[in-house]
Order: sequence, then C-alpha cells, then structure tokens
Amino acid sequence: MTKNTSSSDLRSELSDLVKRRIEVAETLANLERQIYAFEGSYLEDTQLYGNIIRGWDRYLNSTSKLSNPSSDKRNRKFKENERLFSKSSITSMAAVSGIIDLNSERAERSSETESQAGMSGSDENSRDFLGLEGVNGDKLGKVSKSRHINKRGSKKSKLKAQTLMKHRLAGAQKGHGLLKKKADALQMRFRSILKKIIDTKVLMGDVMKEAAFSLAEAKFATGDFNQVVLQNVTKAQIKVRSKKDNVAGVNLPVFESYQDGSDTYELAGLARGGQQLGKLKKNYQKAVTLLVELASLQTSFITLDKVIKVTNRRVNAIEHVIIPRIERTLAYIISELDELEREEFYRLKKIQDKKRISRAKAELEKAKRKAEGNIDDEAANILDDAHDEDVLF
Amino acid sequence: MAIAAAKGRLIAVIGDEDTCVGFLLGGIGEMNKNRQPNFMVVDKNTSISEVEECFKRFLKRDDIDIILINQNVAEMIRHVIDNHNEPIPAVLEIPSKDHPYDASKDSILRRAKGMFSAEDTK
Repeated sequence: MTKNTSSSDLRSELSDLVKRRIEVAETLANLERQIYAFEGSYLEDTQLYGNIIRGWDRYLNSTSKLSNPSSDKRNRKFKENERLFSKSSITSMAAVSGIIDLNSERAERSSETESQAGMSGSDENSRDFLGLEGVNGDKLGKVSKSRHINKRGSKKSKLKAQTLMKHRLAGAQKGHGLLKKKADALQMRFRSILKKIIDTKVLMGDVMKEAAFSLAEAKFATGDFNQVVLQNVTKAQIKVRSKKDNVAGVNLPVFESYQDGSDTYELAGLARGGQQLGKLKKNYQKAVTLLVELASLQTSFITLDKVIKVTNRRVNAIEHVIIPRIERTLAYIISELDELEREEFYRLKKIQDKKRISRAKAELEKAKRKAEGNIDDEAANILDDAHDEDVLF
Repeated sequence: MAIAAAKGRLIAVIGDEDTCVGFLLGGIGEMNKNRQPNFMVVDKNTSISEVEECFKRFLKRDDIDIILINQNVAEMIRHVIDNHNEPIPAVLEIPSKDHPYDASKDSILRRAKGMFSAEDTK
C-alpha cells in the first residue's frame, strides 16, 4: 500500500516537474526572441558609428560627414556571425525560426569539416545558425582549400617520386659500371688462361711424344708387357684433389695431384729392362702432372666462359633495358611536375585578373557615389590610424 | 676406399693400347668395387657406340675428375664431347703415337676460336 502511494506521489511529482520545465522553456524562448530582436536593431542602428562588435573607429570618422538614409540602408547589412549575444545561448536559435531547422542537417554535415564552431561551444544549434549564409562561403572556401592541399600532396609525392627515381638511376648506373669492371677483369683473366692453355698443350704434345718413345724403348727391351699391365690393375697410385680458387668473385676449381699408396708395378721389369721401365714410369708420371695442370686450366677456362657470358648479359640488360626505362619514367615525372606548375601559374593569373576586375568595378561604383556627393565609405584602416581608441568594457 | 673416393679423384683414360699401358704404368689405373676399370682400350675394332657408352659412363661416375682421351678417338665421339659443357670432369685430348697433336681439332680451343689471334700450330 505504501509502495503504491509512494509511486503515485512520485508520478504526480514528475508531472509537476515536467509542467514547470515546459513553462520555463517557454519563458526562455521568449526572452531569447526579444534578445535577438533587440540585437538586430542594435547592430543595424550602430553600423554607422560603430558598436561593440565592430569597434568604434567609424564613430570618429563618420561624425565629420553627412549621412544619407539610402546609403545607411546598404550599410546596415551586418553579418549573422556578429550576433554575439544570441549565439552565446545554446537554445536561442531554435526558438527564433523554423527555417534554420531545415538547414540544420546540412549544417551538421558541414560541422564535421568545420573546425571553428563560432563563438559558442560545441553545439549544433548555434552551428545551424552559422552554417548557412555567411559561413557557407567559408565552408566552400575551406573545401577548396582542402582540395588545394590534396593537390599539393600529390605534387609532394611526385617530388618524392622524382628523387626516388634519381636515386634508382644513380644506383643502376653505378651497378652498370661495377659489373662492367668485373666483366673486364674476368675477360683479362680469361685471356691469360687461354694463352697458358695453348702453351701447355703444345708442351704436352712434346712430353707425350717422349713418353711414347720411351714406351717403345721399354717394349723393345722388356718384351710385350701390355697384357700384364692391363690385368694387374688394382689401386691408383696417383690421385687428384680439387681446390677452389677465388678470382674476382668467381670460384674456379684447381686440381692438384698427390700420391696415394705404393707403386703397383714396383716389381715389374725385375727380369729385364728394369731401367727402361723405370724411365718409362717416370716419363708418364711427368706427363700426368702436366696433364693435371692442363685440366685445371681447362676447367677454369670453361667456368670463366660461363660467368663472363652471364655478366655480359647483365651489363647489357642494365644498359639497354633498365637505365632507359628509369630515364623515361624520370622524364615523365619531370614533365608532369612542369605541367602542375604551369597549372598553378595559370590559376594564379586568372585569380589576379578576376580580382583586378572586381576591384575596378568597386572603384567605379565608389567614384559614382562620390560624384553624387555622398559620404565617403572608405573602410576603416587599422594601420592608418595612429590614435586607436581603447575599447573599454 | 670410400675416403679415397671422397678426397681423391681418379684420372680416366680412353685410348689405344700403348697410351693406356703407359698411363697405367704411371699409376693412374684403378678397379672399383664393381670390377669396373677407369680406363678403356680402344682398337680398330671398337665401335663408336661402345666408346660413346664408355665415355658417358665415365662422365656419370663422380669419382673421376679428369678424362684423358686420344685425339683420334675424340674425333669419333666429337659430338658427345662438344655437348659436354661442365667444367668437371675435365676432358683432355692427348696425342697418340701415330697421331700427333692437332690444336685445330681440340674442342676446347675451338670454343675460344675467336679469341686467339696468333697461335702457332706445330
């Protein structure tokens, strides 16, 4: 029971409070409307002389000249963002006009891009008010500025691309030079090896001739031992080892012979012709060492040949494919940058022209008005006046 | 024997009888585990395919680093030798008793044909 009564009490309390809130809101709206109206008239009336928003410089200048009601009308246009008093309240403009609500959505969207939210804090209503006439122009200006920044961004990235390309070109050229040097060094080594091969082969021809001759001698002395030799093969006495020799970054195999084990044919020729056989064996051993040397030269020759071909291929690829490609890209980037510059220049010139034309028009109008004997409506120049009256609050 | 094969490589010979005998006396001959010799005696009855077969076998064997071949025998299997571009095993052409050394027939030197300008052939 008590719970029911307490809940009903609460409910009635709530309804009372809601009613009071509505009343207060209505009062507030009324007050704000009045403020708005008074503000409008204040700003309008004091355009000539200066007010708290615009400053009182005009006051000093305007007292010396006559006033004309028709020109007053023109000057009474004040900007909406000069309504400082109204804008200091968050609820003011919703009360004033319903037109502003329709445009609030547009203004809300633009409020994201707008950094400056006017005099009041971060609230939508005042921004609604801002968003429309005066600040629309600012919004457009901001949008165009952002586009301008984007364009400059791409120009910056193009400049970066240009330096990147320059670096790549320098790298490619350096690589090309280095590879060429390597190819030249290898080629020199190649030629020297070839010469040595030719000499060794000629020498080998002689050595073989001598060995064959001593073989014939031994056969003559000992008799035919061919079959005996061929049958008694067991283990090799001379074997070869391969080592790696590094020349300008290329691994060349080199053979060296070494003796491994004893002579199988030590007892051969014991019967007769031993001296000849010994001589024969020595000759052939000499031939074998020479041939091993020749074999090393030959393997290096073949390896070098392959490497030189690969290196030359790489050098040619860099020279005829990569460097021209980079150069072409670089030329394209430079031409694009030039074009961007030309566009900027053209745009600047156009703007200057337009400004000149509008200024000329304004001058013309001023002259006309002067001719009609009106007040001078030169804008207050802050820089000119030496006596700036203090703005007292 | 396995260690020997790992470290030391053999020299193979393909040629006429006298050449083979000479080199065997020099001490290069060996029979491996499968009773396969590292030399081959070529006489006038040996067919080209046999020589070719033997040469290819020697190439496949990984314990042979150098192959000595008589120049006249090399002429017989010139196409196989020319196809062989690897540096190892090295193929050396040696003259025989009846055929003295002819540099113009050497396949290695033929590869470098454009290179040498003054080359004395004996």
